[in-house]
Amino acid sequence: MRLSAVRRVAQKEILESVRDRNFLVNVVFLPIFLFPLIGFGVMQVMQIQSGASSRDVAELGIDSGTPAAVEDSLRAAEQLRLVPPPSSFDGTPDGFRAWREAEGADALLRWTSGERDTARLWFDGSRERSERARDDVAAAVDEWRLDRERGELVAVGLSESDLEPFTIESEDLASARQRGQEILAAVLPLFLMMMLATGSYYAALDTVVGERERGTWETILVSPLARAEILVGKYVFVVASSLTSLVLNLLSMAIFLSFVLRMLGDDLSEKVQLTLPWSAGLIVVGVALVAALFYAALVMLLASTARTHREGQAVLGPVYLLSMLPGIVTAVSQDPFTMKQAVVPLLNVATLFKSVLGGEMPPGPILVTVAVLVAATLIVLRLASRAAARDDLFVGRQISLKELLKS
Amino acid sequence: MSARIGAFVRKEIREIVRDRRAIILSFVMPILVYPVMFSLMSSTERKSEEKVQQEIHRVAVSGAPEVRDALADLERVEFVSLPADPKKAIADGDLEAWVEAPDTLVREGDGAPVVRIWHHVSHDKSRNAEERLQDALARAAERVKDARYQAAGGHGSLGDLVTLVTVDVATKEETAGAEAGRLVPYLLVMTLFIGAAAVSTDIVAGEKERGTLETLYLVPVPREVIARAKFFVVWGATILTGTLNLASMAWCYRSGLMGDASVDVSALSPAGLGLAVLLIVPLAAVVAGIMLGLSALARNVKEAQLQIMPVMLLAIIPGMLASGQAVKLSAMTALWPIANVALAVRDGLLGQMSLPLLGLVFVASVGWGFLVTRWTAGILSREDTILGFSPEPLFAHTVGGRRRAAMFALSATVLAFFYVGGLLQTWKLLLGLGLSLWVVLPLLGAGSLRFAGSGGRLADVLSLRAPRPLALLGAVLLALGVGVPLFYGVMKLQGLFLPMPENFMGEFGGELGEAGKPLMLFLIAISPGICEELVFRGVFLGLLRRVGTVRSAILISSAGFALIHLSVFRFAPTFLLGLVMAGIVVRTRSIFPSMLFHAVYNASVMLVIGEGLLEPTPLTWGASVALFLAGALLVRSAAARSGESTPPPGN
Amino acid sequence: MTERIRVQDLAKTFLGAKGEEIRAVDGVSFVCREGEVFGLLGLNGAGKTTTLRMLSTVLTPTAGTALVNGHDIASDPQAVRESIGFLSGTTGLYPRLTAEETLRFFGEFHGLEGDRLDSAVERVLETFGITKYRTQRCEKLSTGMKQKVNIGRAVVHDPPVLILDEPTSGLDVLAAATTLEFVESCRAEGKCVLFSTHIMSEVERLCDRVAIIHEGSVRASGTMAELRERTGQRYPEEVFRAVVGNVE
Repeated sequence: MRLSAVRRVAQKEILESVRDRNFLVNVVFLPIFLFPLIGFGVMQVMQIQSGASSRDVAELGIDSGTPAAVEDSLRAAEQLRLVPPPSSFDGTPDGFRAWREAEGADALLRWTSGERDTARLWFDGSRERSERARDDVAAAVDEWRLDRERGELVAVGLSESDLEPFTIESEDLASARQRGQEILAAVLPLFLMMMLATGSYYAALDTVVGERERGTWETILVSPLARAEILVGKYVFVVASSLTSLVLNLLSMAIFLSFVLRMLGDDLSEKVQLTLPWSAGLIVVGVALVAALFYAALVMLLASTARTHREGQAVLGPVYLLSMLPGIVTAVSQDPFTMKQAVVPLLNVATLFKSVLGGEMPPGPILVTVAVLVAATLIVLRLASRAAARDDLFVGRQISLKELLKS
Repeated sequence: MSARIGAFVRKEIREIVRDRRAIILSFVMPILVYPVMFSLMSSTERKSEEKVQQEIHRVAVSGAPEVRDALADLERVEFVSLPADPKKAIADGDLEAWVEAPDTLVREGDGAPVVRIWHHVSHDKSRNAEERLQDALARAAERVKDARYQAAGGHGSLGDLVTLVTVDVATKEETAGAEAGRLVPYLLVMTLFIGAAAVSTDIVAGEKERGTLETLYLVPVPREVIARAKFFVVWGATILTGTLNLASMAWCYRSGLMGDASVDVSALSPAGLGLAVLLIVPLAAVVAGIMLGLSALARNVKEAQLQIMPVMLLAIIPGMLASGQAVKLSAMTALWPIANVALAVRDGLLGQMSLPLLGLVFVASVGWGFLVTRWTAGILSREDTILGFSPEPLFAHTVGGRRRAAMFALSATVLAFFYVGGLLQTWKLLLGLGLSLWVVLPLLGAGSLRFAGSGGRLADVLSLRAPRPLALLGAVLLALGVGVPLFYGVMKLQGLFLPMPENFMGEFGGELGEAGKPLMLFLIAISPGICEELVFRGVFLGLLRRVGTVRSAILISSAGFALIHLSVFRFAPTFLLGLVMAGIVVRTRSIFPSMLFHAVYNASVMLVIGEGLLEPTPLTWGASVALFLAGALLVRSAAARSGESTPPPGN
Repeated sequence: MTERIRVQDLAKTFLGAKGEEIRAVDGVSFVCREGEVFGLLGLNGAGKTTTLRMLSTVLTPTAGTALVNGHDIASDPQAVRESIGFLSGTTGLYPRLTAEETLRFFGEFHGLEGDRLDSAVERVLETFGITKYRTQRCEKLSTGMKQKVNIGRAVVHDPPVLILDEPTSGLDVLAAATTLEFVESCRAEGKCVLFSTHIMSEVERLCDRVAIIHEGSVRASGTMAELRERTGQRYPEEVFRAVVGNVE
């Protein structure tokens, strides 16, 4: 294999792709403009929701037995309005429902005073407004309980300070950067997996299927290049495009996140710092590169079974979705990164990202991950080169994956 | 003719049914994806939950023995002796937490004694231990308190003095509905788009690619019939995908694969689900129309997907409005496309159905569907759609081409300003603001002028003409008169159906406030007055009115102006301001009065209204209206004297 | 003989990238009659396809008029499409439909129903010898078979006028022969065939009269004998070159 030939093929692919609107939109425009735009849209939706929710006032029915102090603190609650209780109420859920239907109220508080006070609250846990009323009531009741406790303590000759024997303070030893890493570890792995897949998806489709569709496959095959050179050249291009998309996406996400952090206020930006130590950054980038090599090989192999773009998408679409699964699993799992995950391709990448971003870098599993990925890449590349050598690909017959693996 | 539509529909259906891949992509995949994804997620989650349950935490306690005793009976905790450097031990993961209590719990000085829980959020085990210790210590504090109370002669426990008993009246169905209502409406909107996209790309762009669309258009039936048949098929397929997906989601919920394990979601009410199915029908018409129209604009499947993807991603955002219960379905929201159905489905799942509103949602959706369908039918009957090539280049030097070029330039300007401006301001607020107004915006304007210009003298296009002095005076009066009505009229009115979050207006405080008045005036009043006016009233109003009616030019340039203010809450006020300023430019044939207006208005907001110095009293309202009317009269008369008010047609 | 197609000063203008007008067809006129094969000759890009697309009402003319079977292409496009069969290199077949389904659907699109539809489909299947392949999907058919189905698709409603736009381009010898035989049989049935091509042997063999079209306008028309006489050339290629001048 001649490197110069490989380089020339890759150059041709790159030149072709930067002249392709479709490719540019997917690899450059989408990450740079669309994702911030979507993030912005989502923020607008959240603001509309928070605006609507700040205007949402719950109605609470309270009876006359409620202590004045409780009533006052409830009255002071911002999103709560007090209404008269039902004239007759049997205490059953159905009775409450009937009253609610008639009055449009959200919760009902009944107070029995005495040696020991009992407050009964009827509310509807399936409605946010009613739940908010419950929270307000709980806060007011707590306040009242402290009042009563204070009275009791003073009555037996203790001081008010005994109300609180000690306060509990939670001290986090993590630095602002570690906290930031915690956020990154929660958000980034899935995102990184998605970007790795997206970048190679379009490039592979265009360079393998597109070429066949445009009828230029034959043209390049009759040139005096070895098939391996063509294949590797294309492979280099797919990897490059996948990495480009990854880098652009990370940049645009970083910008967007800092934008959001700024909007959320200075407090948070002091507590949370979205930076990575060099070692973690290097490992993530390095593994992303190896993962991109694997992805690109896999996607190219799959793409070579299709004759047209549509077919290619039908084959790659499900694989694309399936490759998100490790990212999703990792996001909800608390499992540490061990050899068990390291031997499963893709799952190892996602778990590694999470672990390293979170600040833990077990050397064994990391090395195994890289080794597994490299081995898997070589196997898949071998299959792909066999696929490229097949004649039925050349005549444009669609072949099944099974056939490809058998050959 | 209906028989022929039938034949068309049958042909399309047969083709889709034979397309195994389309079926897999739009029907089978989504149905399989949820169960697989959710079962995987919930089983992983359950597993790690169980693991946390069995986790044994190593905790060191130091200080007062009361605290240690109170924690002693905590299960699954291994108390270890205090290491030499407990903080390091925690950071290294050798210890999960250190409870540091003072030597005695006797109060010294003002505050209560402090018990600290040292932990490390980066370690999952440490985080879990901290949560458990928080609870345990709170209970311990109560116990210490009770002990002291009883020692002093009190009886029983202090905590029992007041008991709150809560009765949750929500039925199983309602609870399940609330749980499902968080996700289902949004997922439903998304699946409708995905399903419609798969079918519509094949049915139009795919036909073009295979060269069969021309064959089809040779058939002696009106083009609208073909368009309608295609629409019906995509609509039907979309309804089918939606229903299947909903069924799959419902199954996931009912079998416990999806949703919070603590909620019995199996009780999802059939009535709510039925309503959702019913609402899919009109929503599918809207979605199918959008997807069909977009894919008709493309020459092949690849292009169609390229056009569909961004629109799809943006169009599903309104569906997110239903992800909480804050936004209500009202006479207003029932009219919003896409969002209305999402909100109605949520309410249906919650079991709160208001028939009149439901009817309104249905009617509005059918209306939107009808509008979209008309647009789609128009596109499908166009020559370039049928032939797969455009007889006229998109940005040709014709009236239509220039209009498209101007619209494109406007969108690009808004997008680029959003991005680059945001970037600069995140970097350094004040400098970024200055740079985005004085460098980015003018560059974008100049680029737009070059790209979408249709000739004519630059001064004419930008309305760079000396104004009459009266026009300037009129602009100042208008600017002074418009503040109160805008702030206490329009914004309040808007607040009725689009309430602002509380902290929204405070955003501009902070860093900007530190800048000092003169710099603020320059950045907030003078700079926008010059730069924004040059670009929106100069470039875009100038370009657009040369290729369309003055009215549409005013509307479109004002919409662009409102969009760069980057917030739904500021859209309406800035749009109205844009209309007024564009009106001034058109009337006075000069951009300078509108620059003055803009600067004076922004300054008055910053110095007077923003500071709360002007309350909405009858006096201020009256004065404002009077100023506004006087200004309007002056601007009008200045126009009358300068002769005609329309620009010379310059193509 | 009855006139079937009358084209009068037909023109179509597209706009270029800079807004300049590109006159694809610039005032074309000719007449075709019943039982006649009329050839439209020209180089690639001469305006043949645009002219035929206007006659089939897929494109609307910028200027001029044309009557097809007595119907105006601008005011009554549907009646025009009722009475023509159109075939070109770009009218594709649905790959996922079978041969018979294709014929059946297009019959239905033309308003055939019941027995009339059945017999029309059978007739076409038999005429073109594709009965054996009726249940095969079009994507599986050979090029020749595809061409037969495509011709069948165009004539399933038995139109009086046939418009064929370079129907043999890209076909093998046998498929091309099928097409040419089909044109001859149409003439025998008294149909009017408008036929565009740049293959001179086809012109020689089939066309009763021809019009040579170049750069959007008709440069010469008449029978081949007339054209030979007028140009003083013997071979059709030479005749063509004499009419359009030496172009590269």
